[in-house]
Amino acid sequence: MTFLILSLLLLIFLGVRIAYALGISALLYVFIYTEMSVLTVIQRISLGADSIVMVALPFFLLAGVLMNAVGITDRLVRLAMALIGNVSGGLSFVVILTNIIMAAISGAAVASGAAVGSVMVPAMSKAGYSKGYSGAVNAAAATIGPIIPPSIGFIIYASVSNASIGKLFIAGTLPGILLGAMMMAVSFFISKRRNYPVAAKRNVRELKSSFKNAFWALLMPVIIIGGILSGIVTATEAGVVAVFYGLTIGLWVYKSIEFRDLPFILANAAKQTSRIMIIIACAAAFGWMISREVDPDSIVSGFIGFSEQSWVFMLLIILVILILGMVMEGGSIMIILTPLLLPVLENFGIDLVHFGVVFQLAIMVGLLTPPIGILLFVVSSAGNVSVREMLKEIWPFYLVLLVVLLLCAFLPGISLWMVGIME
Amino acid sequence: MNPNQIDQFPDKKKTNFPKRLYWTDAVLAAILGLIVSIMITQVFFRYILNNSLVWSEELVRFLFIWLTFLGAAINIRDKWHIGMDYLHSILPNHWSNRISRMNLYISLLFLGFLTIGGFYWMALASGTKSSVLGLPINWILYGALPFTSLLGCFYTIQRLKIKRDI
Repeated sequence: MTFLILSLLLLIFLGVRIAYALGISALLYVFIYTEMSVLTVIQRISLGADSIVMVALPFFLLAGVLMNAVGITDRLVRLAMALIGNVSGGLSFVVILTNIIMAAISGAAVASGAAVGSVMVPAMSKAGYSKGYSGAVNAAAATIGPIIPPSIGFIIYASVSNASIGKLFIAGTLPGILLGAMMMAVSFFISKRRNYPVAAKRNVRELKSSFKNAFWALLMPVIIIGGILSGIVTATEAGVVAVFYGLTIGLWVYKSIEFRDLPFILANAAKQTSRIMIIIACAAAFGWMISREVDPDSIVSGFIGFSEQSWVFMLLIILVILILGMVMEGGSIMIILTPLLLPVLENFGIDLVHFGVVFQLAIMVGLLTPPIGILLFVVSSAGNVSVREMLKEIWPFYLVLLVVLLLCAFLPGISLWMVGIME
Repeated sequence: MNPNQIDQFPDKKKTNFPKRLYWTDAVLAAILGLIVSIMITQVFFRYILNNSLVWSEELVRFLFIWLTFLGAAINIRDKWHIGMDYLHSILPNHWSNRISRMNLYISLLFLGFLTIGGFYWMALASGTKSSVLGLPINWILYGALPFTSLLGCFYTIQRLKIKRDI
């Protein structure tokens, strides 16, 4: 156990890619400490990639790539601008609202962060918003993507915890909306205090034309969210429908992509899928060694020895995830940590779906913290604003994320209420 | 910013699609294209024709395994694997480069093991057939890892040849 964990941490710290670090640790462990054949590692890695649950992954990644390639993003931004661009701090609302809608199409933060950021950061700074604030709003709003369904994080969590993807998706909806609403409130106060400009009066003609322009694009999140929340289709099938719909409007309605673009779009989504799947496959071998070596009771008693209160455990684990999130990519944290925590969760009677939402919210903070904070860099390069400027303005949004995180951690009802209704 | 960190930022711009498609990318795209087509057909059969396909799930599972491992090899070439680069962001450049090269050698050893051991395991596991389609398990399930790891070795060596990159 100690050997497995130490060698993994050392390799990851040295910068060996996480998937290989997992595989190498497992291999060394088998070689040094057991009588087993080293081929076990090969078998476990192969079987680790054999997961029908994870087939949902490429579909939602593909939906995200299509969303940008087809031009759905631009249309949604224009509609949101016509809709709420004219209130105080309106452009920040446009960013947040667009991100909420896009969150219902794509399962990752990076796609919407880059797409909305490249349009909105220049637009906001031209209108007189400070550049740092524009970047900060864009980066923070993009975190809504992975909590509102569909969500790559939930698919990963489901595959390592055996919780239901459908339930996780439903459970993420309310926290996501709460997050969006609180971000809007914060940006309203900031804009009010700094007297950020109000866009021109609402123009009914522009509203109509932008709605017409965005109609088919708007239907995409409606179909996906509708399908998932109503339970008519499974999560994977919702992804399939989304991809089918995105391809159809891209190829024949908007004519914004052609058949010869498809190999590029597919290869991109496939590579994104593989980045995550290879870690899951190698983690399967690593996890198998851990479970062979460690008695789950010892992990549980380790935690109980520390404290018998489930809220202490919850706080502790949130702290661990937040710290890890600063130096490691979120999905990998989920893959490595979740199997170790399952027996403890069971012992404390914490609902798997509830914990999944908390976990997802906690790793989202890591998207905004240097040195990893992917969203900071994505928005910085998409909107041409320096990370340093963004960091000066981003702390109110950290606060929002933390408040929502703690609310969801200690009021399970926020995530489980809708799951209960749907059943 | 350390060049290593570029690994982590996939969508730099809206259209970050590569300028050209190597044949490996084309195969990868074809695999995902097949998965997408099969799944669309499956949903169509299930909801429109009320007639579930029996063979689709197994085929998709096997294609997905190949997608995972082939993509992993390609991501070595494109420096797109997920990793932690904190150490490299605080070290001076020449140290960071040295460690990066060492990491590549470590990965190369592991990939070499996956290739050789994988082929060996393929030979050991021969004879088993998949439950629905009757395809040979050792080729379609266990075969993915050694073949793509061989490609991964090739890409790793190519990256090692470049002196200042990594």
